[in-house]
Amino acid sequence: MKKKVLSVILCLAMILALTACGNKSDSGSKSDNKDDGKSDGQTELTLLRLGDIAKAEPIFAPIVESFEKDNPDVKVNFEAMAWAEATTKLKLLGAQGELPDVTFINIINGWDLASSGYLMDLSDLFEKDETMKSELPQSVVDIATTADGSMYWIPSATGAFSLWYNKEIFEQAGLDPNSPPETIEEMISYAKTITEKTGIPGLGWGIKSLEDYANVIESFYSSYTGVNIWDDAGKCFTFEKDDKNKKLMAEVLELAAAITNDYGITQDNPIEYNPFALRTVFRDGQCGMYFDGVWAVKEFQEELNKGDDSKFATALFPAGPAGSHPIMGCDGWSIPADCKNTEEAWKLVQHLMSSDNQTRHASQWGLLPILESEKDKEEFSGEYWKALVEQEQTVSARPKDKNVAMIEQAIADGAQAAAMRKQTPEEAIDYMIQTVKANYVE
Amino acid sequence: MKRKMKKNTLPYIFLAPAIIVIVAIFAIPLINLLWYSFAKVDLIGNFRSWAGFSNYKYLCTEAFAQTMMRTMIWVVFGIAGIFVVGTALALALNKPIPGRGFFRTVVIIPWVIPHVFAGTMWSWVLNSTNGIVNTLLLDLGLIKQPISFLGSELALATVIFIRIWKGVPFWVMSLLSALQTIPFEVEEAAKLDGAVGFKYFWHITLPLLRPVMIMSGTILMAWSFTIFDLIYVITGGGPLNATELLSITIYKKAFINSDLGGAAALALFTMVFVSIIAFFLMKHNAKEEN
Repeated sequence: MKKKVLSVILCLAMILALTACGNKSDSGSKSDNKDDGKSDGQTELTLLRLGDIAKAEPIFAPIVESFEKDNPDVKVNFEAMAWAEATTKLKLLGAQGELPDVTFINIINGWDLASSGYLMDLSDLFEKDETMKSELPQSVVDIATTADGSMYWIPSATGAFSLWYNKEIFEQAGLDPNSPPETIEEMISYAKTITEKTGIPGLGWGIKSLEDYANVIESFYSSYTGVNIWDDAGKCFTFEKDDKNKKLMAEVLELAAAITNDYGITQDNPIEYNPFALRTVFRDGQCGMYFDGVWAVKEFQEELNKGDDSKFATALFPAGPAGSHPIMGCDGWSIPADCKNTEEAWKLVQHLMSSDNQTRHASQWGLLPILESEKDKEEFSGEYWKALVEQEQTVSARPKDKNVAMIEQAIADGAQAAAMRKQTPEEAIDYMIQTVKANYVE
Repeated sequence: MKRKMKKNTLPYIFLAPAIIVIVAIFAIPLINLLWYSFAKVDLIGNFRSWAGFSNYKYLCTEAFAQTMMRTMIWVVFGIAGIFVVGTALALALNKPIPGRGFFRTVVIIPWVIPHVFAGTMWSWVLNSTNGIVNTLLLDLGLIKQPISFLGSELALATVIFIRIWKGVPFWVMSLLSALQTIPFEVEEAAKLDGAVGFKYFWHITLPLLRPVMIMSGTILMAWSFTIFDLIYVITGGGPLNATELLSITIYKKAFINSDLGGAAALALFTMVFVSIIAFFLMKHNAKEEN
């Protein structure tokens, strides 16, 4: 009898212990707010930055403080969310109507949220803001604007591929370190010279089937054709129905194959590298040039801080027949469609986009100076900034589609197969078209 | 009779809370999975429409057949490698050698390293430009050109090797525990009968270890089907689908193609497939025990 009683007590204790776990409320955006986001007469806003909170908080704390000082009736709660969580978590918050009042968005989740109706179209607000309009380059505004003229986030974080090169290796190869290649043909010629004269691979090149390689191919395509790779309105590749563009895409893929297999100008086994993994190869002087953008600045800061003595330099993305048009990533600040404090949220966005705050954000996070007033600032005075900033003027767009991840995976897979000559360029093009058609979600 | 019945119910009373929780935790996601597999759902499970069996059409494609083939190669060779290496190590570590405790600790290290870290580490170790393996082989003059371990020809073999490296500690620990249970008298009697070395292993040790091996093998098999992060970090399923296994395909369907229904169908198929194999293995094991 005693054993029975004891066993029942133990069972109950186990059940209680298990049910006690969980039911922790998510510290999402508005769990403690009243419905209208107001508390004690103060309006509460939530500001969310994607990325590491340890990195984000020191950058945004003073920005938030200054905003609250200028707007004493507004309180801002700052949060950060890991990139890995963003895709599903932001969509969940959107579905629940709990997106933060001002959310940092990137294109992978941005177009998805926008197409689901979770983000406010900011184009009207933007049009009325003369300061912001004059500060943002038209090329950047175009990247963030859809075919029907909607703008779902104010661009704040951008970056485009440029050409990074090693001046010391150039000198060793007898090349002028102040005259980097300007066209694709020149780049290949320089790379051959470097390889022949120094034994160091002239070009760091990666064809691992990831988003970054797709971005390189998109950059080449736009530099060959002068158009974006994706037709946002038609929801198809711009080479799908246009024979001229199709032919040029085939040339791009053949170029990738030739660089990979024929010219002998790359490091061994490009298949093992995605473009950004080549940073260590470049940093260690194991290649003369490679494609990267502003994202590399923080990694090479020590060398770049040497100023004129730095061996690293940047140049525009080598031009194709249609010019230099690498793709640009464009992340920025959004407001949810059902925001209850639109006026205050927009004020916060304007505050974030003010010259000093945007500079603080860009310089400490490792982003391009996007506003016209930033470009002459001390933080961006290094020689290497010139090409990175100039590149902003001639960029092309990634697919402005909620299926952007799937589309770019199809590009990467097809382009890799073509680069390895497992498929002809025509077969790879067909693969991209069919894969996207089969997996496209309206 | 009454007392016997009460005794027989006692274990079930103790198990009841755990079973209730496990069934609740397991059943709800399983029902969701089944539901999603017949529907068009978006990334956060919002139901859009019924899809009938269209999510299962992928199972009839050549792409799936190739993925399944690669997955079976990965599972079979992975487990075979773990079996051979793990058994040898377990037998060695069962002997009273000096530093046995230290070696047992070292053997466990691969198991405790997170998959993501292990994958990143091996990517660099095997890198053809800077990897230590290629550097060593080149310096020793054993090769003239770096080996592309992660190229399309060797990628699958390489990830299988890494799987073996990761899985051996579990096998070693399972067998070591089982080896401790072999009575000393059995060993003595076997030696008296002339069963030493390989004969002893084949006729005495192996039969006694078989139940543990089957159990551990079943667990390893189930794990092998579901390993995603290790392969994704190293190769992303490439190059050219060389390491595209079922787990990678499920991930891509769900998070790249936003096809949660298709991913659910494939996940359900994997679960059923693994369960059937596990069922027959456990049945065989129970038969042998009886």
